Amino acid sequence: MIVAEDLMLTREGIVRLLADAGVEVVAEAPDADQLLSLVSRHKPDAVVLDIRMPPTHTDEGIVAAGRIRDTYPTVGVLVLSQYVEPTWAIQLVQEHPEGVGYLLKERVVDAAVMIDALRRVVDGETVVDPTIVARLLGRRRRHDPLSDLTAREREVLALVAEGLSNKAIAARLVVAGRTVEAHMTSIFSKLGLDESPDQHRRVLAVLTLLRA
Amino acid sequence: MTASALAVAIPLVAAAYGLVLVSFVVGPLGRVVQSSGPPDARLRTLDVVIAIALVGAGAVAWIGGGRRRIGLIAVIGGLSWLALYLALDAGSPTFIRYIAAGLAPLWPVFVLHLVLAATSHGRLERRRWRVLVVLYAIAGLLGVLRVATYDPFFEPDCGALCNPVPALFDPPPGVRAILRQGVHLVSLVAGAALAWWSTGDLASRGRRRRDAWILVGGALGGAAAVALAAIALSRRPSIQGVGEPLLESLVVILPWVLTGAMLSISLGLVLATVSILRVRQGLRRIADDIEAAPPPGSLETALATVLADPTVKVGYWLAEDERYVGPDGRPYEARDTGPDRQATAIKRGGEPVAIVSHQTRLDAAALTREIGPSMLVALDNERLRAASLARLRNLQESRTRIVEISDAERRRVERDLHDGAQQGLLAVSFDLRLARLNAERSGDAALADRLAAAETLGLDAVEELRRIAHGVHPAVLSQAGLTAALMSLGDASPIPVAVRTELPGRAPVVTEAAVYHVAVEALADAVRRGARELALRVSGDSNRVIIEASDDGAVMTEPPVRIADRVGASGGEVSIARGSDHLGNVVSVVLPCG
Repeated sequence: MIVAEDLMLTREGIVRLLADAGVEVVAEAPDADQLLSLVSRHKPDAVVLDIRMPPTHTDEGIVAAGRIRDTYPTVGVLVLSQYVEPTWAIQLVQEHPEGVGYLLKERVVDAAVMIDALRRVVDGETVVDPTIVARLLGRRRRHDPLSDLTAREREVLALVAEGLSNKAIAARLVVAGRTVEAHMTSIFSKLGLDESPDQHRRVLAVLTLLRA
Repeated sequence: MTASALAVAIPLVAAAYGLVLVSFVVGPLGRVVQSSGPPDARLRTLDVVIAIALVGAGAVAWIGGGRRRIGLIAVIGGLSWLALYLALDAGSPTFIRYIAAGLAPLWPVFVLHLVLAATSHGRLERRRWRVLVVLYAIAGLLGVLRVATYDPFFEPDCGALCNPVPALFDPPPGVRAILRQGVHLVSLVAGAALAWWSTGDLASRGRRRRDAWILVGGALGGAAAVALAAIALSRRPSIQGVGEPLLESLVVILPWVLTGAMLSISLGLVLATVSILRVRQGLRRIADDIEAAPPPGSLETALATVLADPTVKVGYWLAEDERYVGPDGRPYEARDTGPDRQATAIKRGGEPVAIVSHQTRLDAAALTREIGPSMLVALDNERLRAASLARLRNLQESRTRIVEISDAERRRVERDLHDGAQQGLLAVSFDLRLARLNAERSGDAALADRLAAAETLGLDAVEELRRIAHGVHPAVLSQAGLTAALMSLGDASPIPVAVRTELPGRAPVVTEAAVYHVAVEALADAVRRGARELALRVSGDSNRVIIEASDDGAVMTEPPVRIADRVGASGGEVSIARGSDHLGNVVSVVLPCG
């Protein structure tokens, strides 16, 4: 995989932590342009990149993520961000519902989380940082549709928003797959959402609902 | 209007009455006109009409408009018109008849002087003044010499002046003819100059409208004078019945042309006087109205009306800044460039009070003259108000600058926190984790624990720094815009925040920051007043942004002071109202864009 991050100290830290976790880092890039040419040369399984890169230090990471997903559909992209900001996470998932992830930068220290996230984006799934999902779930609403959900259902909903598949949710909650499916039917009817056959679209549907 | 009409009519009637008085009661002039001059009664009538018109217009200008010099020239010009009759009157003293005879052909010089003086509005152009002085000097010299050497025997067309009177002295032969021709030559030159300059001024844009009557008269009169002088110069013993049709028809037409020209000049003089009277009256009326404390800028409007010049701009002098400002305190933009504009400075005791920029056709000298003491007080009052407004503007501008600089500072601090401090802390945390993994692998559990604790501290600090940076300035505002930033505000809010933005595009950075801060303060205030809900609505166009914050908290009595401060600094307005739905507290803010 390839790591793109403009600050050398942080980039080295990320590379060493990933290497320590057993991830093979084939190249490093300090900006989006170099990243794109490195991706075309190495065709890595995944790319980890900073949301904020030269030249404008605004949303270069999100733009680069989109271009990589458009050009190389097999390359999973994990955007690392220092902002707990649902706007960008939703924007990322909205434009590319598959194979992308939005994680806070400090998650890098947790090898298990990183490996899991990388594996999921490589498999074409979506990853949204739990802190962001928590922020969205905590949002005050005038007519809160979430108030009808049971505690367990809220738990399941959060995992859906984080991008987990039914199987992954069942594994995480240590329950049977059928139980998760039953929860899912209940949640989606309570929230008035179509029980989406498409796992990727349901992430966006839930995120959008939570932001409203 | 009635007053100025009276002011014109009275001197006119008085002048006509005076002339009639002179003609019939005192006698000589009436007798002179009736007994001498051309045999054609119509020509006599025309001459009398011209004389009355010029003397009347002169009297109006002198008495009514206070333009003494021009009035005097017109009166002399009018009287000189009848000099010929005096010269031809057998009953008048001989010497006076001689002088009159010498002066009679010189009327074009007077008319030239009159037209130039009446249309120059101020100082006469140097070159024109020189030509005029030279013409006067030559005319005077010729007149004296001619009177001194007059001998009817040598005059081909002496008429009633042919009764023999001995000349004062006898010049060498041929000199009398040269002198006679010289007088006509002077008339010719004066007439040509008159026609030339009048036509030129008529064609130039600035003077045309105001002085049209005088200039048309000057052009026609000048042409007639040239023709008459040319006829006189080429004169044969008698021009009647010589069988030259052109000459004959000229002799018939010219008196009428001349009459028309002189009437036009007289009318122009009277009209100019009327306009001066109107300006004077208008200025007096403004001064009277001043006590009613008019709104700022009304003096400018009033002057524009009085001077019939909608482009009038008034600038007031700020002594401490040494500059002019407009009535609203904005910098005075000198619009006195261009050939048809000029600026007249108005002073009080040598100190500038104001500057009036106006069209050139307005008589600058008359303007300064007519602005009397009460008008000066009025101008001074408005100057004081303009000065206060200018000071207020300065304050407002510096207030806006302070807020804008502080906003820019906040953005910079936020960037530094994220890109500097936070990244550094993250790098440290990454290293701590690596060190901890190594310690665990080498079996040093105690060290691993300490490193884990240090790592937790580091990550807590990252989180804390993120919170601080967001409070200083939300990165999402500059990067993703108002809607995202307001949604983000709602994410972390203790009460529900409904956000509706209807903006055509991104507003300027400064405006976005102002809107965001207003929203933050509105939320804080709503929470303080126990609200359970807040609705934010942002709308606007490229000129302004409107923010409406409605909540259901305790009723507020005035706009939150922090919102008022922030909005005031951005030059906007804030007001409160009662909403119609359950969100009864509405704070409305209008912010100008850019």
